[in-house]
Amino acid sequence: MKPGVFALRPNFRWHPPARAPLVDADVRAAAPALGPDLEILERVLLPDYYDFDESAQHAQNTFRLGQILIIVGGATATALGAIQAALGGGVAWLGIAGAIIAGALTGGVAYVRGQHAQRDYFTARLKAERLRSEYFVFLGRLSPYDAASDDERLARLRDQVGLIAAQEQQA
Amino acid sequence: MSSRERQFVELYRQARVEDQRKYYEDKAALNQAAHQELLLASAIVFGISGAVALLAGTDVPGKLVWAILAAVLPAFTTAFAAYEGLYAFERIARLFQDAARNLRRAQAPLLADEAGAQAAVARYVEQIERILEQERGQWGQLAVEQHDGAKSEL
Repeated sequence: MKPGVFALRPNFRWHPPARAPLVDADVRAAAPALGPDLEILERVLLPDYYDFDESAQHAQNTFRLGQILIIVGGATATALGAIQAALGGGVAWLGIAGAIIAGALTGGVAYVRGQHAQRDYFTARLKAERLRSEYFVFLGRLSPYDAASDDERLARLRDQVGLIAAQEQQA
Repeated sequence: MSSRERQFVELYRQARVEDQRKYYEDKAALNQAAHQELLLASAIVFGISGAVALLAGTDVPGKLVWAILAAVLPAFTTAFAAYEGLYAFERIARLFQDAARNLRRAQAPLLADEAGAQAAVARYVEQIERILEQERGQWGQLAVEQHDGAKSEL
């Protein structure tokens, strides 16, 4: 089994994972009365949910990758400085390597900060989770989806999905 | 309770409550394992660091190598601490354990009375969604703290 530390590491080449349904096929098959509403949700809500879910995972991967590069770069620069000190100083190639890494690190930090990946991750994850919650509230025909007419319920769902998708980060 | 309500409660219990509980439990276990692994790795590196520092101060062969190792190894322990700070493994594990426990406590409604069925379903869904929202709120707070922490480290 892969250790936890490595199982959670970011990937250099991120690819979106296969889209998993919110309701497994066997659970869905056992609820035929919910079929029409599940089809509406697939059409109206799920495309946005998957978009935000994948955006969140991508932004999280970008943020963690940037942070790890900074951690590794910082540790390497410190280690080179420590070696230089242990050798009594004056080793040119160590000094040059340290300077290159420190320079790259400064540029890397500026780039990572400019990307705002953590904020994007936070915003997209909250939107995906709110859409997931809305999915089940609609399915249960609970407020605000307790209207008698199907058209009214559909209109409220479209409004709600639009509102969540357009929402800016609150934090 | 109508057939539709009965089917909804069962679907909600399986696809929302159980699915989310399992997710929390898996992630809690993974984060806890990662936290333990990092602790162990840090302890080992700390131990080796102390040993090589002692060796560097004695008249054993390879004194320079020991001195270099004694200078370099603390940088690794700092990197491990920064990695733990980035992922907040222990706090995430505790947060997910709490959320899973709260979901386990929530009981699906046993409904027979047609009149009160819809209200009982609404209460159940509201209770579960509140638990999940609380978890999101705490997670959001943690993410903001990590963000602020990362900014101050930069």
